[in-house]
Amino acid sequence: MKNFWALTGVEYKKLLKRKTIWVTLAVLTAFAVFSVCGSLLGNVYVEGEAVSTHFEMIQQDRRAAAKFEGEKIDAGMLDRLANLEQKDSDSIPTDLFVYVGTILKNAGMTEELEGNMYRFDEDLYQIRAKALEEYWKSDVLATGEKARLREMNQKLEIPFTYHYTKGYEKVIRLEYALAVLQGLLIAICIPLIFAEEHQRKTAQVIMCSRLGRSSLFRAKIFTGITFSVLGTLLLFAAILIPAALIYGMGGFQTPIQVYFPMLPWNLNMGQMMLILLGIGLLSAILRSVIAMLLAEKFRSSTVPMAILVGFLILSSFIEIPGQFRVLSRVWACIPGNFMNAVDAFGNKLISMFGNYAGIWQAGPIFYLILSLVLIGILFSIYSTYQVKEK
Amino acid sequence: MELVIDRLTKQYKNKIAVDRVSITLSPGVYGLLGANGAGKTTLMRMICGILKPTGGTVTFQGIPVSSEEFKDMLGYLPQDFGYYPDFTGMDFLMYMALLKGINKTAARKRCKELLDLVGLSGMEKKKIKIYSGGMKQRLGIAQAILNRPKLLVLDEPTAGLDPKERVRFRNLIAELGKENIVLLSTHIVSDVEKIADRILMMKEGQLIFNGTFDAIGEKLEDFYLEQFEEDGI
Repeated sequence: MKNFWALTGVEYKKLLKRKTIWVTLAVLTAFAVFSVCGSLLGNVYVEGEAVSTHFEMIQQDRRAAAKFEGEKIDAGMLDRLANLEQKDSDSIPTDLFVYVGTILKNAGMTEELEGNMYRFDEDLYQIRAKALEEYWKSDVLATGEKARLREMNQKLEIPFTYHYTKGYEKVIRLEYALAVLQGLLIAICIPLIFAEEHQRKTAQVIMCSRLGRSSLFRAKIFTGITFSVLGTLLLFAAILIPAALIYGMGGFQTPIQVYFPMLPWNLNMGQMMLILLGIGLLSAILRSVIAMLLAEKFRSSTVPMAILVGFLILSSFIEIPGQFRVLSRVWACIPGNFMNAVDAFGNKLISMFGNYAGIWQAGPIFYLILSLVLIGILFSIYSTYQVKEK
Repeated sequence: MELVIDRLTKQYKNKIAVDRVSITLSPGVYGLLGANGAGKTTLMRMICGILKPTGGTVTFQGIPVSSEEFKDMLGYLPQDFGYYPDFTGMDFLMYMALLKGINKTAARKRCKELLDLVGLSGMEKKKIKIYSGGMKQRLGIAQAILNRPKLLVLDEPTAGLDPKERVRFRNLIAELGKENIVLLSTHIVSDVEKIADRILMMKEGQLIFNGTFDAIGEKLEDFYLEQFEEDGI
């Protein structure tokens, strides 16, 4: 580990001296901020007439939500909502509208959505339970999986308590955008760490030095991984801070089911956000290792960029149906999807050591193992590099 | 101290780049001459351990050149010397020193010494991208001798140097060659004439001559051209 920190410092210096890095960071950070603030821009139109700005709508929604803050979502609340629907529907918080609407839609009760959607004969939580069964059927889940999901669902504390948690919801839903931005950041910046030595023909003198194969390799890997992790944190902050300023960060303890009614996990919104952040950091590690491996294999920064960006685009279009059990679970684990709440916390479970684990539980283990394996392969390619170029 | 090259071979699909070269080098300066494509660079890369031979072995003081121990004793200046344009001369040398396992404090002192030696003092804080070709080459020579190597392999080291710089370089090499092995390849016959103790000539991957000036018995350039069947000037 001789001179490791000094060599890491030089690797960072090499990276940060490139204008590409700064331009990429600036552009992607701007995109991240815009992904939150963009929704503030413009007006709301009703029948061709601007009735308010989006910002005013958000503030109005916050005021409406404040009137239900801390209340249980039970028959009493539904009654209030039903009355409000007749008199002043603008006073119904969007969250509660979406919550009830999602349950009814999944339960096949779409006709209720058009009429008075807050009055129905059955208990809402019984409707939810039925909706879950339909939802799990459509995902072609195994009997064991459904049993596990039912067991988890039964342990949830109902009725759920409502809190205005828009800030967390915004950040959670934008994790997918973060996955895309992270993918671009890594594709553009990270291959340079290894490719530069071939492009600049410095590999020859480096490989002739005592620390060129071992210590330098460790320094490069460390630089690539830490830069990707720090870059992800920067982009995450660029989403979190505006979301906190616009929507506030109250409601950490809100059960995730209030915003994602079809999910079975006993987690709150704050925990979900933190878990997704952790998943994002693991994705940064895996993606950066893949980028560095491709760069060293192809001795280029352009080829890895093309492969990584191409895969990023492809993965946003392709969806694997649940009947392809293994493939659909593997697909749910790829970095772009893994950072999406619906995939990470979805109903597809992975059988492990006789139990079922969620994608968000099993995925990190695969990520760490795969990262270590790929680092081993990368070292093998790097340390056996032969100078063949004329 | 000996560099032992035993039946060293490098074969590519359609070509034998180095063909069973065997030679033992002891302290002194060796000038390696040959036409383009003769196999000089390939031979040097195999000696430095950055190109795996198809056959044969290279050992230095009994140590295989693939080992990390050997790298401590090696200094190499490649033909197409690469650098980082936005690094200063000092940045680059410090980086190379760190890679050679020299700690930061000792590295700073050694780098200043070498920048003086190669005539780059005053330019150490300037970015390499503004250096002239000769300055870059001198920087390359400096990095090759950072770790006081016992084996110094220089591939076309005088390319880009003006006559005054070449004289300076020759004096440096002559000094280094007193106690170490210096192998330098070049097209400039006069450079080899003035500093090499022994001449090695390569043609089509084979070592066709290994001897001293005395053994040649005529002007080196004429002898060189004869070997490659060129018309004399």
